[in-house]
Amino acid sequence: MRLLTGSLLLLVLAFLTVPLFGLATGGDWLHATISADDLRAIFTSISGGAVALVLICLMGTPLAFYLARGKGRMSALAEALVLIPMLMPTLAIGILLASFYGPEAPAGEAFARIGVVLTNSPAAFVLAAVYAALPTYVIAARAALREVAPELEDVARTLGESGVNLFFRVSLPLAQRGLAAALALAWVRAMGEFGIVLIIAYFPQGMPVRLWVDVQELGVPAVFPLLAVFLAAALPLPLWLGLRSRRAAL
Amino acid sequence: MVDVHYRLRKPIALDVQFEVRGFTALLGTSGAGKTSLLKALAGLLPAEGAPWGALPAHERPVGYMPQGSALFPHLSVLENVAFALRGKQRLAEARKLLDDLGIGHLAARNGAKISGGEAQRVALARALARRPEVLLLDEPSAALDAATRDAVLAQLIDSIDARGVPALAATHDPAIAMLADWLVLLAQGRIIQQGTPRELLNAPASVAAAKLLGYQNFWPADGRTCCIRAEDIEIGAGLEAIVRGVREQGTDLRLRCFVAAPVTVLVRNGERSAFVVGQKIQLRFPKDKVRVLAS
Repeated sequence: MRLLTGSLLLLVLAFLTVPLFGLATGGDWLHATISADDLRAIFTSISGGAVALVLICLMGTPLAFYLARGKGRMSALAEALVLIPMLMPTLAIGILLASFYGPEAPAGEAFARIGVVLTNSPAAFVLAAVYAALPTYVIAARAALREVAPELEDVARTLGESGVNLFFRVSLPLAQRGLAAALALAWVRAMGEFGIVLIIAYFPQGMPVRLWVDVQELGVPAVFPLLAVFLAAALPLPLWLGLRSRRAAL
Repeated sequence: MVDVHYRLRKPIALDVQFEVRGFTALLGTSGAGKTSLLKALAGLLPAEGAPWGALPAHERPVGYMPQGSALFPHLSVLENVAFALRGKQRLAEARKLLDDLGIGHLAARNGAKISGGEAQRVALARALARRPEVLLLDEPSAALDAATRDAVLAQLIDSIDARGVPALAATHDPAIAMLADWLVLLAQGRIIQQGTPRELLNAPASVAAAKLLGYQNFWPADGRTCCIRAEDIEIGAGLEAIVRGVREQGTDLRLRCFVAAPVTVLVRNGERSAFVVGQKIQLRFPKDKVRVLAS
């Protein structure tokens, strides 16, 4: 029975990971090149993703804390509102964002008057990443903050702490593993976003759009070097955060 | 001494007025509202009353020790105690508190990796660091091993007494309540009696109070209710009873008998072989141990 279970588990793992090894064998590595446009795409994805991650952390953490501690209809409603964009097809979100932040939409016009253009610009790229990854972060961070025993926060209050200080001295340190995992998920989500970006931030091109363009122009084998760079850019942060949180657990 | 008058609506309706004198035990059954009352006094549940009713939790001069001590697991013992302290001398002050309680050697240990008794003393040091006007302890024996419980509790009470800080300890265990200087009985959302343990044991005010104090035998007499504790009934010339059940309780025996009504008898250091189910025995109910309850 154990052998059967083990074999099944190995099959599932193989199903998930064997295509990834195609990265080493499927590309035309002898003639591999990274063009200037590819380099600009790498910079756009990493810089835009980093800015988006900071915004996601600043906006998402208080909301996640509210959802973790809230017990009424308002918090249930807020949770539903967070889930809606998470469950929608990304192309649909992109179209809706274009109609809201586009150059002829009221919100888009208002931002343009203060010099912020929210379509086909670096700001649009960040916006797309935030919309893509913020719900994921909030849901994961909420779960992490829920793990912090409310009793510990109660005791901290009786010891004179409250508000933001209480969050930084008690809730955050105790939830850091889960929050790190939430950030890692948000990073991967933001880096890999394609549907929303395709609609509102085709330019400047990030790595997903650049890969798409290169596949059409050069064929699949030719994009493997950029694909490798894409993975190298996307994976280190979540792996590092994951290793750090494992060490903290030990 | 602290006079307390509080009203809560949720999660349980309470309207209580009582005094906290020295080490005070708040005795009530599970679900009576003891923890809710302590939390309300600490400002952790919405309530009206005095003292401190208008103050938020972080401004109330109370020291709160929940069940299980609730030490911060991400901090060392020293940092736990220093949590409420400010200034450059905070760690030195915390160290002194730990030394005063005889647990200075735990300073560098992690708060989550010490025994229940040690954690309780650390929680006491942490609560005392704020120089509270009253200490609130929720079921202080809950996280203690049965083998060391009495000794640890006695040490805890001595430590609190030594600092002269009034303490209110919520408990459902009459044995712990008997260690207190002052006993407050909570039932049906209100305080049904308060006084020294001796006063209450000698004169419980009602059936509810007598039950909380450990009385197990009740019977009607002339329109009132009489009661006697299981350990006060004697085997000897008296009323005839039939043994319906025998159970060992440590070195004692607990007998279920029947004398016109079910009666529970606790025989100290009783021999198991001396009693069998169905046996007829004689039970004495000493008049000075029988209490006549007002209601």
